[in-house]
Amino acid sequence: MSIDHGEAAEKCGRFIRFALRPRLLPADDVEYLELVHEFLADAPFQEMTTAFALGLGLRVLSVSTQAGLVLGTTAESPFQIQREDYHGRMSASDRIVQGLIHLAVGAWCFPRAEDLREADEVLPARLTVEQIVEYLHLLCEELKSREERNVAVPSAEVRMAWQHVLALGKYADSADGRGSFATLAGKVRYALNFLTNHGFLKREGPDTRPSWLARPGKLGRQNRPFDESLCDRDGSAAPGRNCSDGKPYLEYDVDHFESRCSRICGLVEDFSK
Amino acid sequence: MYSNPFETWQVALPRRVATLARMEPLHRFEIAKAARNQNLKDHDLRTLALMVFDAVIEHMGLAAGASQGEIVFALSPLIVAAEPDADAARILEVASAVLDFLLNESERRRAFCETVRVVEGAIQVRREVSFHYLQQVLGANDEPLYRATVEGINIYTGTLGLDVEDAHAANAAVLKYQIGRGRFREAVATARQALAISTAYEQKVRRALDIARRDVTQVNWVGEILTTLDDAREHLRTRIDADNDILAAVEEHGEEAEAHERIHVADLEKHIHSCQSRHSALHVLVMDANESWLGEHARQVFRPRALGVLPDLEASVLRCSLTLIETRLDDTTTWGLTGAFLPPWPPHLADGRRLAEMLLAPSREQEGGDSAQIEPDAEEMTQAPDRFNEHDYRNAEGLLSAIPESGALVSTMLADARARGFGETTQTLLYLLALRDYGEAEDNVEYVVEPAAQCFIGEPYWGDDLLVCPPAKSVEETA
Repeated sequence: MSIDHGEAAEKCGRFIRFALRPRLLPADDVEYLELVHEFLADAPFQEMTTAFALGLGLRVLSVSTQAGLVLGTTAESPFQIQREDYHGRMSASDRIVQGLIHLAVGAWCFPRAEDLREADEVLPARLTVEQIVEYLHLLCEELKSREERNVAVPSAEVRMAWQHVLALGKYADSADGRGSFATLAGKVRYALNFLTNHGFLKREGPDTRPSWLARPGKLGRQNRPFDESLCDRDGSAAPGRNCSDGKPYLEYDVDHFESRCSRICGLVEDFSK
Repeated sequence: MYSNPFETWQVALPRRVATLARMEPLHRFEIAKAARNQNLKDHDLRTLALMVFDAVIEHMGLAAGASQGEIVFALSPLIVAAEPDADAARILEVASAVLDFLLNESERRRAFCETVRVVEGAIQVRREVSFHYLQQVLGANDEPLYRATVEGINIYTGTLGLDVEDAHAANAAVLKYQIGRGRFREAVATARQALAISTAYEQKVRRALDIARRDVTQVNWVGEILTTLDDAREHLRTRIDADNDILAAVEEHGEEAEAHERIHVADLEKHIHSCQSRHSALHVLVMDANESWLGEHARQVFRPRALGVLPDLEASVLRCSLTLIETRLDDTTTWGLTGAFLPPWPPHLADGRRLAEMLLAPSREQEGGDSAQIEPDAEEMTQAPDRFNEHDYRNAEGLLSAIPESGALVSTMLADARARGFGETTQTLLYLLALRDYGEAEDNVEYVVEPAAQCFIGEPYWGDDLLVCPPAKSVEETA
């Protein structure tokens, strides 16, 4: 390898190293900002960084002077977060609820496709723990009442994801005011703090009543992997209508979501087995 | 049927109805203020909303937008005028209510959406008009800033029904007319409006370029954007020429301005210079746009691309995920649901040398124990000498012990000390020793000190005189 190539590779490595410090923004570090500018202006540097990242098991999701280099992981990447890194002790139910909370945060900020598309600069809606709790709870209550009206036809023995949410107390926090991980509010607070520590959200307001603003260049990009496996539908669920094969849309969507989810995560298992 | 040779009602009406619809949320905000739990009855919320636009547009020329503090500062005179008792917290509350409305916070900042019914051909159809008034972005220092949209600026400038380009031309004609007739005060207001229209135009052009930057496949570059850029180049060239003409007119007529109008002329020049620099910067951006797009195209061409359109996260992803069936959610899948949203997590590498160093490192207490104490870099200070020396104490005690049983006045003792030739320090010590026992319980004192109901002046001491008596002897002692 020539000296030039070595220097270029070292520069790509440095750029990726900055991106792996999630709370660091280009505005905080002159060298990082210079590398972002160079990336945006220099096609060979872009190609090399993208290839370098891919070799490490990383994908370049976006680059901007505001959010910096935003990375995602490829399948089987050593950079994929492990559940122990997220939370030491989580039951199966906790994991389901945490996944739903992260989805709810994404859907709160970018409810529709056009919001996701415009998600590079404009800040989405402010969010609080209470808002996400109520939002998720309301959706689950809606599904519950639908089931009670027997619209969604699941079998009686089958437990669905929303039931894990409704099984939790909403706000029964400990008496001394510290959030408990056992409640829905505690779980939401944990997820929001995790996202804040990783640069996706910006915390505002007093400690007694904090609110969060999503960093659009980061959270929006991280929520976009969902488009990569959408290949045959426009994404607009319409419960109650039937698909051409006679299956209700809702069920049809569930199947698609499962395959979508597994493909995104690089965890493809054949559910039909 | 009425027909306009230039614009038929079939074309004009939908556009004008849409214009009216864009004002509708503002009127609703005002009408529904009583329903809010914030006691806003004394405020005209439309006025406050327009004032927000004024502050935001003003700052959009200098930065990406206005901060909340800047907007609150601009609104506070209006709020205080309506509510003279309003304190800082109340001003912030009212300002936040207006900002939340303009962002459509209650609808999670979605676009305002108004439905209008128009006639197409012979049938009536429903059309949706979507727009934002205000948006929030992060500034260079990571602070949230407010930015007005083209619709927001048009509402403020009163040019909602016009294309920005037409509004620009109309504004320039009015400005020239006012300057030509020496109406500088009115011209300043028109120039401010020109600046706002320039900001709206900048937003319009930047928005088109931003979409291209985000995803080149979303835009028809050759068919749409190149045409837009050609129009923009032409428009900006006209604007720059017009700005030069206006500035020349100001210089020409400004000399004739009366003394009290000079301040308006200076203000006018400042606004026109701002317009000029904004148009020049935008012109550079437009000139470079094609090259930037080609670079972006080259960069994005190999990017993995979605096969379909983006999904509605709420409707088709969150709702569906809530109905996932538990039996199909194994460990891996449930974690995958969370992991899909999380960023890369750098793995820990076991570097042998670092590991050995870490494991063999002494504990913190030991670490501190062996290391030599580092002397602080401090300078030794000389001890300040005592105020009273032994000699002073001996002299003062001598005077006090000579007090007769009937007692002696402090003023007398000080005079005695002076007479004996004792210095000022001895006199001060004598005075302080007497004061020390004043007001103390008899058991704890060396001398009994009481007020003497007279004053004294004996430089440098003066004030209420005191009677100092030796302590009463106990019965045993007397015996």
